[in-house]
Amino acid sequence: MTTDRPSAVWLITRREITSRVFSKAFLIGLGTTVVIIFGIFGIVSLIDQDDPVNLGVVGPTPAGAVENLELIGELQETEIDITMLASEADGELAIEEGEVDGFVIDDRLVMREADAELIALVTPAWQQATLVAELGDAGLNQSEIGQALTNAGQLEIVELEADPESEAKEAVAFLTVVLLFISIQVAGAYIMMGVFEEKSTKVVELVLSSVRARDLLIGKIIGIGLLGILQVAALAGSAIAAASIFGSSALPALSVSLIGTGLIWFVLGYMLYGSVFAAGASLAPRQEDAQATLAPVTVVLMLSYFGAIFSASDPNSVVARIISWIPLTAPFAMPGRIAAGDALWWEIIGSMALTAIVAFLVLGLAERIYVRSIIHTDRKLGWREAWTLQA
Amino acid sequence: MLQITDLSKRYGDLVAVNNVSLAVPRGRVVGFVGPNGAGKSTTMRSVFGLVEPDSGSISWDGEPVGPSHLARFGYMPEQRGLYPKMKIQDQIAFFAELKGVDRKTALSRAAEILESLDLGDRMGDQLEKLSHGNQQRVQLAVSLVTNPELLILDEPFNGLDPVAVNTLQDVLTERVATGAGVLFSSHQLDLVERICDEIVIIVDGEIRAAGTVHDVRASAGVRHVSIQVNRPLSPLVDAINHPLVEGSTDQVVAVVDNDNDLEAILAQARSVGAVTRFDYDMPDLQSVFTSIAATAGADSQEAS
Repeated sequence: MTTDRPSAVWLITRREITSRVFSKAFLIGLGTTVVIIFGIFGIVSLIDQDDPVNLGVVGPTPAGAVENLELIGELQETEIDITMLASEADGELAIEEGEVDGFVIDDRLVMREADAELIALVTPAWQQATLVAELGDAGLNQSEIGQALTNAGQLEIVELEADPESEAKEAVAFLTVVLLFISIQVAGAYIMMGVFEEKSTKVVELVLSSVRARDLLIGKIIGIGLLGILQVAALAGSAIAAASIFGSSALPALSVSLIGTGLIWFVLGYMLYGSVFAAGASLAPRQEDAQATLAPVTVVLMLSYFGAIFSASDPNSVVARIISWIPLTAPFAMPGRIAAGDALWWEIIGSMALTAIVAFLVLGLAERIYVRSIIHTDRKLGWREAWTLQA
Repeated sequence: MLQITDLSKRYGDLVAVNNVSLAVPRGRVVGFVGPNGAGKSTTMRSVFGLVEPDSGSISWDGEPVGPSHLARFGYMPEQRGLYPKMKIQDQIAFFAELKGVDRKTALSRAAEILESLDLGDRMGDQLEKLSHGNQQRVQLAVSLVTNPELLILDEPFNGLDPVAVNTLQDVLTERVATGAGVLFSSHQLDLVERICDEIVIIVDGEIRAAGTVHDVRASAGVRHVSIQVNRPLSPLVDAINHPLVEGSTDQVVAVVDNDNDLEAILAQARSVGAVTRFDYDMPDLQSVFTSIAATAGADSQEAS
């Protein structure tokens, strides 16, 4: 009937998972986040959708005008619908009823009020058609005119950022940072509440009469960590599902390798912050005390998050490069850069290794504080006092 | 047998326990008695490694107590506490599993013990849904579920209703009959006197008396002599040349050293008037404890 260490750790881990995974709080939290992700993709896809331009036409049009318009629309990636209308009165009614944005009659473009987009589309189409007609009248043949117009003043398009998905990647980088922050923060809060609950209900005295404090801490960190991984996977999965349902342009950037590295960063960030949360909560017999003790940690976590958000929008900046190497900020900043497609492989490996080393060191320090302070259920301890305390 | 030898623990300037030695043999109930803050909980917690003693040793059947022994001990801490949201059968089984019982056995033992404590119909309820008294029973169930060879209960009778007190008493008797050792602390000395085979009295971190209840009562070296007369008492009170613990309208109880001649006292009483009753006994535990605590208090005042 002896309790060996792995099985004690496993029992604690199992309790952490089973007591939470079916709890209302966990399910509601997970459900809410999934709904929010679907909501974000839904809203973005609505905003992204370009309204087609509806143009009414009354009477005859210059030869080639409509074709020109369609060509321009194609170039500008704007869908153009053309409606034939019987009279000017019909045209005005169609504007009134929102069926068309404007209509052309003879050489007039009629709109409710000046619509820059419509003007920019229609004017050159009509001008060119009229010009071709007039030049034809002047005796040039059609193909010569066409040739001349095609070559005239045509600028070659050169893109400096040759990545057509850069906007999508930035969006995914942003999303990655947000999801990692939410996941690490939620998992950290679970650790804090879990440690605090055991301390405040004094049940820890009973648990520690059979199990070493170290095993209790490790089991708790593993259990809540596995739940966190489940949560990250669920969030990433729903992001992909939402992206494909709403036909988001972000989909190609949501790669398996991004989710893989994201999970690794979750584990590293969680170890780093979760163990500090555990140590902080072990110092305090009351919830207010726990929150006060952990306030500096929460501030650091928030600053790291904002820094990473900043670097996601400008992944190439010096600040982004620096904070993707600092272990406290790396779990948010580096995944942002990875998602933006900016990080080099050796930077990723190096930053992961550095963060892992620091995370293990911090875990060791947190363990020392936790083991010494968790059993003192009667009063609040300071970080320094706990460091030197004896059971 | 649990053997605690020369256990000492200080917290800064505060001496929690000083050279405490005590034994809990199998098949015996040992009562641990002392004022608040005397060192009872520190001693009990150190058995489970919850206190790291500065010096001293703790052994079970001759082997130093380590993690493998803890699986065979049951504990009820003074600070009660369980997981509020956990269902009680799962909870009891969880603590049994922590002590190495496999899950299936743990669940069935948890069910059995809940049945025996009249909580059979509440097994699927969360702890916090139970009344305070029933939560206490669950706490007891946790300490008993592994059929421990040694039970250490810190103030187990605190907050129990009289029915539960009887239940606990029965449970302890039953466990001891199977060869388990029991160490429990209590302030209810009448209970201690009734249940315990042996008692240990601790004051200011030091053991002041230990042994069977009879031995401890005898160790006071005095007898309580009670004399009843059919006259007014005052001449009798004047005649008895011993400190009184009680003086009612028709009876006095005097504290008399063991080497004093009781015949002489009886003669003294008779010289005042007719004696209707005359008997003597060792002081009860309460009196012994009170005088030990008072002496210790005086000692420590002298010392400081």
